[in-house]
Amino acid sequence: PRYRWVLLLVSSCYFYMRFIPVYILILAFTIIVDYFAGLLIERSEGGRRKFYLIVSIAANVVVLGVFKYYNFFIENISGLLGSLGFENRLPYLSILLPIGLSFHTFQAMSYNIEVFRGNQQAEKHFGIYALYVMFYPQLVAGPIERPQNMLPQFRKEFDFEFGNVSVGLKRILWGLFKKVVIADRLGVYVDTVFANHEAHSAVSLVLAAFFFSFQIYCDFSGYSDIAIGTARVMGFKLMENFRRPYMARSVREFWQRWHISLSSWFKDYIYKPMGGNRVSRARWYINIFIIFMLSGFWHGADWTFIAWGLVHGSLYVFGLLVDEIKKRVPLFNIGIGSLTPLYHITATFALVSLARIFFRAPSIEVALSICESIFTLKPGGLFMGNPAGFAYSMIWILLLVLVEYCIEYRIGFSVFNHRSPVVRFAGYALIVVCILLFGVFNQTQFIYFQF
Amino acid sequence: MGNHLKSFVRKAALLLGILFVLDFGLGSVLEFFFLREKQGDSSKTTYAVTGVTEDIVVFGSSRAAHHYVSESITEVTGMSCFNAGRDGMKLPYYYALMNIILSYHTPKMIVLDLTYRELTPEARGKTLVANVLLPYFDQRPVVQEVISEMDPAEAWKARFSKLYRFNSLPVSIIQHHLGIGQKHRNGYEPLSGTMDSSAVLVVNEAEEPYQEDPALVAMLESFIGRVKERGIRLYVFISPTLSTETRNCKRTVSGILKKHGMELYDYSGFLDVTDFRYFRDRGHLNDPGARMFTDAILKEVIIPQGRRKEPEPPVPVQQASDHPGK
Repeated sequence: PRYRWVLLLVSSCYFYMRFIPVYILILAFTIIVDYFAGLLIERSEGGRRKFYLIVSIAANVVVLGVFKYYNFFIENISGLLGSLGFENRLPYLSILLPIGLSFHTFQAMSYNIEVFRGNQQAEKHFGIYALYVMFYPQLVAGPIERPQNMLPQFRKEFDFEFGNVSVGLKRILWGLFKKVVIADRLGVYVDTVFANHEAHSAVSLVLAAFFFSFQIYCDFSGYSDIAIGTARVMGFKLMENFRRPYMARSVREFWQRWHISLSSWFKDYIYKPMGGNRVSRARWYINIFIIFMLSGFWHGADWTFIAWGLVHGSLYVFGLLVDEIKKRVPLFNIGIGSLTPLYHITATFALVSLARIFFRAPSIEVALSICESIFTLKPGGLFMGNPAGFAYSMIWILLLVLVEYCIEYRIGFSVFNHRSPVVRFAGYALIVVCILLFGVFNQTQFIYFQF
Repeated sequence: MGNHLKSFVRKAALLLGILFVLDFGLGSVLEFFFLREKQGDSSKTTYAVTGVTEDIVVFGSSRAAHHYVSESITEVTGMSCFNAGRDGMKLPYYYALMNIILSYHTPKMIVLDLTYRELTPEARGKTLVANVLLPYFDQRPVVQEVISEMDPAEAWKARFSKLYRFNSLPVSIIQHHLGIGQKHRNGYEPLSGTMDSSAVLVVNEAEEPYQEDPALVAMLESFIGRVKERGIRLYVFISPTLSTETRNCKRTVSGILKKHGMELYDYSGFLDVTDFRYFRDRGHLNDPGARMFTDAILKEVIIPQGRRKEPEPPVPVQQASDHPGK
């Protein structure tokens, strides 16, 4: 047990090197810089503390900037120079994005920020610190952990706990179901419609947007479930990354339930230091826009992601304005009785799905073209593609909504956690049968791997 | 900890046992119903894998399935005909199917219909073929070999799970048993309706870049070689299309066929835009169009070629006393 960290670290290195082995040097660079920066921050005072923090953050941001955003900036600068009549001589970099870069750099930065704030003691053990950055279940696509949660766990004595293994395996199974049965099945329809969007009617495009919302949710939360479950099997508890986001009744609430580790990172390390909501109203709204723009940019080096972020920022601010109006003018506080929550949930889902068009489309032009087709109610029938595949898609979405509704409102019973072993085993068997019979096994990798 | 671990292992073993039984049981049920489908694409593949006895077999994609009228071929040639063409398939599928059929049956003639883009690389071509053939995993040993050749990973998955072989098929199995699905007549799938005249007038069809996959070229060579080895008459056609693509596989295919002393029968321009009423869409003939095309190839290629290749009947030897002059 004393050297458990060695096995975990070696496994994590092996896991990372399965992609592009030489990229482990990038990880090694940031780990070494951050490890020593943490120690120096703790030992220093005043301006030197800030200096070492800036060095640590700069190292991570530079690595992120070079590998993820360099070509984006060069392309846009070239475009600008070209429009001014200048020739572009700046070289492009022909490099692949290191896997999990956006996730582990953010996780590494949170460590030294917490050390700087005095909320976390600097980790003296290099191996334990390296494991904190590289822990393989969450290395590639999060959750983006905090040092207070992870570091103590790496030092704990390990004892086999059947409960952890059972909970972990169930989580992995459910995550796999969401990914291969729901997400990848929906992806077949979404890819077909988005690839040929000019030929599709408004109805089909709206359905594709809705399907994409479920696809990306099941894909990403499915991965998170597998990551959390894998860690749990080994006795580690990772933070929750999703909390039934499509049960949200407003865009604001949606962001409290979606990709929680990233939104809390932005809130704690950028939004609050900017003043958060403890500034003038105008400044507050600007802060919100900046955060969403950065969040969009974090997802990808493309204007579509920035546009997606800005759309969400607009929806968020609009929601705040509506709440303010309702508070001041009770007349606008109309509901539809017991259907009000359903209306809010549906409206939020629709808005989030339409915003996702920018996330999914390959370019701003395509996204705008799709939006135009939708808002001008482009005529035509509903494209169903393969009828069997379409039927499966609808069935799984209904099942997912039912399960999440029951969990949200604590209705019914949990199959996986039922008292009766017969019910539990039947549930496990049914999920495995569904994975074998209905899973799509030759679709693309997890969507968030590309970030 | 020891007790907990033992308990966990016992439960895991029990779950695995349940899964094994379910996998085998449900898989067997699905296999039973799947192999008894009477319509749909899969019923044709089932027949091809399990029991073709026809003298003539047609291979190809949807264009083969909708263009070659089995009953017309039978009527004119006097030989039974099965059209094994299948929607959405390309060369890897016909190659696989040909190998399976030849393992238990030697047709007298094979007709192979190729599309313009038959030899262009396709990301999941072989995996798709492996998936299509998975339900037949236990039908013949050659099927396992063919699946392994197409995609070894799929073959391994099929070995571990009988249910996996019927992945994504339950709804279509039910549909086909309820009578929903494309009906066929000895494999020929007639298309009704005609294409819209406005769709005909598409000029300067944007061409995608054309590139040939050396592996597919090799596969075609192997297909032709195997068929010739078995002494089977082979006719390779490009059936009518309204596509205006100038870059296509004709040159490469002709070159391969020439090496074997054969030619490519290019009927792509057999009908032109003025004959749009014989087309269902730019790439597929409707039933009247298919009948016209089938009659043409029978009259112009298959029957004449057949006569040339049939051995001459023995000439009776004339006796001296039979000679009228003597």
